[in-house]
Amino acid sequence: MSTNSNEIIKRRKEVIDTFKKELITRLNLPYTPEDLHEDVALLGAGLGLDSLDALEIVLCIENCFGAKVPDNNISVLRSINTVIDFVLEQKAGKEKNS
Amino acid sequence: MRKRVVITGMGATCSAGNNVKEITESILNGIQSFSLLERPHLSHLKAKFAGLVKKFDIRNIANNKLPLYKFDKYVQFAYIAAKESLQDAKIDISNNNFKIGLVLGTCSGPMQSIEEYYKNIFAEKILINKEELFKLKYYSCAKILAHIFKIQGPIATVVTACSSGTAAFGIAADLIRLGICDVVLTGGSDTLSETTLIGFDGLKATAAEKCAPFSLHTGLNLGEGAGFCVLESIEHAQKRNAKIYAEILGFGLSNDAYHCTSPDPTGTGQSLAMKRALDDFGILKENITYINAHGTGTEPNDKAETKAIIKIFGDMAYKIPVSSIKSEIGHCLGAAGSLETIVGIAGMNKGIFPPTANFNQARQGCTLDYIPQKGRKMGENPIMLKNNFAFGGNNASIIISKEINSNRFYNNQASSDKIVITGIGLVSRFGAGNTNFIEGITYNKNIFSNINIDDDLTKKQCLVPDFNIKNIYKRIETRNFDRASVFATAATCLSLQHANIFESLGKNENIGLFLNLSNSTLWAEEEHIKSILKNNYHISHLTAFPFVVPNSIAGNICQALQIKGHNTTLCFGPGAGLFGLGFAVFALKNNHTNLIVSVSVDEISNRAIKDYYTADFFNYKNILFSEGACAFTLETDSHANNRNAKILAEICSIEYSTETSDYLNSDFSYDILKETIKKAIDNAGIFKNDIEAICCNKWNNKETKAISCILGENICIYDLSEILGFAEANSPVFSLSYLILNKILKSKPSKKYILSVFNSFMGTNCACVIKIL
Repeated sequence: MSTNSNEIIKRRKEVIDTFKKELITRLNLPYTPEDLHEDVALLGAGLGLDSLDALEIVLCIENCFGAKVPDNNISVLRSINTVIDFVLEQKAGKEKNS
Repeated sequence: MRKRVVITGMGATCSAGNNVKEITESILNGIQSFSLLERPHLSHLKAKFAGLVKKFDIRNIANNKLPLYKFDKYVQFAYIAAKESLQDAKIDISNNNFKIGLVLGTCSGPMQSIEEYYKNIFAEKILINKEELFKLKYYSCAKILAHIFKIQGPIATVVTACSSGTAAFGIAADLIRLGICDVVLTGGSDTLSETTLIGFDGLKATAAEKCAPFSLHTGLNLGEGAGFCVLESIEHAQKRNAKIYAEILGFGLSNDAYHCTSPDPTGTGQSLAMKRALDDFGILKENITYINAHGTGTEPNDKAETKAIIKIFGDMAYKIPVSSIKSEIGHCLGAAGSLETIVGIAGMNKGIFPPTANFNQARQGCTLDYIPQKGRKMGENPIMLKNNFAFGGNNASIIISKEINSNRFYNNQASSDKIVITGIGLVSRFGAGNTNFIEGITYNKNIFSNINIDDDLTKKQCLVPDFNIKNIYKRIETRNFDRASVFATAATCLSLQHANIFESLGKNENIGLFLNLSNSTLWAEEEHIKSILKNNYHISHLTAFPFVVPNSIAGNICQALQIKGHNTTLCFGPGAGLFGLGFAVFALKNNHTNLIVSVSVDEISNRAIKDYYTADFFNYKNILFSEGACAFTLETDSHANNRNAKILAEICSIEYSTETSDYLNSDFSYDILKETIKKAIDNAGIFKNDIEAICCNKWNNKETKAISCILGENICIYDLSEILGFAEANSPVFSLSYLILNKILKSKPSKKYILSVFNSFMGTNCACVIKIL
């Protein structure tokens, strides 16, 4: 594997770890970061989170990663992976712009 | 027969004007009285408009002797509205009469002072004295008003967030119906708090433009103000030839048992409140001619409320005009219910239904007749149904008729049943459970025995040890629970288990819950306000905001245990457990339901404790604070007997009084307290030597003096605060529980009565006689 893709994987993992930890503290979840699979649904049947939790996750994304989730884009919150994709995409966009 | 309750005076202040006349005129014309917020530090918010009270100088309004300018704006608003209502009713209530009461509703009342308090802490300007501390309390406004207007009967503060105002009317009416009061001054008051506004904005509940309930644009505008009414028994009003505006024909409360901020989308909980209001006096739904809606303008509220109305009225719903005056003055939170009721009544007196302003096109799911834009002429004999719903799942509905006509209802009986205690649930420094409690008290020493004179008492509190609530009820979900919610839910479960009725939870939607508090949810206040101040008025997380309202604890209990019955949260200050017990009894006597859990809870906050010591808040330095919860399952005796329940005790009488010479301190004289105790003994129908034991605070000289003056010196006084610590809300009920559960009194053949007495530092008194069975 190239150094570049190693770098990308490492960076993704860092973001995942931060997000999971934040999620657990903010939402008072009875889990450890290892318990949370990246593909499990955040809302509804998966982790059983509700609309208020969704808003909390949006605030978490804004405050921890400086990425603003548009009001009508609830699909970002489907799973940990979709959140991370969104965060990294926004970061890449910002870096490109600057 | 219950007494009929009429409204004989009204007063109000809000963005539409500073008196009822101005406000009514403006609202009936569909004028939106919003102003731009124009606060640079809040410019990042979506909310741009609010219904703000026009600038006024309280010094010009208030009597010079009253230091009203020192208090929060919500106290000033309340004063203005209350004064107008009393003048309007042409009544003098300052005549040393215990049958005059006060019920205030507020959502975020003292939040202005609380915000100021945290700003000072941030700036390291900590100047705390008794008065400053008192201003932070939800119960302070009622006491200030009682002092100003010389109200000597029961006083209570309803703190069920946005439904407080409406619930206050109903709870006030309940006092009159049973003859406990002849007159009750009641209303709601709130002022725009920045941290509350930021919280609503964070929840995405605010509108960027002027709100339009039930119409295309979603979101709410916050407002502020106060509305007060004078309620009287019809006999009292007729005897003094008072002008009668309207009659209260029904009152219903419920809890959604669904979510801390969102309404149940099926409208089930909300429809239960409306149904109970109709059933209260047996009003037929065909008689309702107008619905004054909660109608905040948010997507979840407007849809759920529409559904709930259709649930109750069926096809008739489409023919009943419905409107929300939040479109004109905004969502005034705790004042909303009272302002909306007043405007509804003023509208009925003018023959015009108030309109929903800014309503252009119905929103999807909003299918009723919302009286768009302009007021509409109404027919004969209008009867209004008024709804308000709140965070914590609290719903309240009242029914008000313009005509005073007794043919409209057929169900006016008070319950002749005795009110009995069939279950007790305790959480204390000895953990959860009644056995732990009794054993702890029996085998533990005085808490002061391990303390040296130089010890820092602020560091020696009596905390509840960790326990697993799932051992009490394994299906409980406690993710959003604070410590107070854990204690209160555990105590509620234990008391229902003790009463052998736990199995019917979730199946019986009539189980009621009264939560009685001294403090608010201090952790949530601190967390929410501090994080906003730290982040330059931006919100960084939402975990605390839904729990800033004190009724969030009851919301958690109801959600966890699926309790949907008659539910409210009352803040009485110290001794709340005992004070609240009586209000639950009144609800049972008024036939609102036949089983209520009355629960009180204390959670220790290190910051509050430190302030208490600094300010010597309870006038007693040698005190150790404790926390915990105490729940009583109360039933009518016929309900208890029908289900073969084991009856532990009977509540024979409960009496209230308020000392009015000062707002912050209790009278030096103990005459009023003495009279209250005498009344409790007389009304219990017993002689003073029937009393075997007394619970009171031994360190409160006034209590012990008043008691010994009536009952002599040789009476057995129980004060468990030396073993349990002083629990603000719970102390009197902890002692009471011990005496009920303990077998000591059981062996005595004749003397089976307990007297419980409480006199708070600010001069609110309660005396209660209980018979052990």
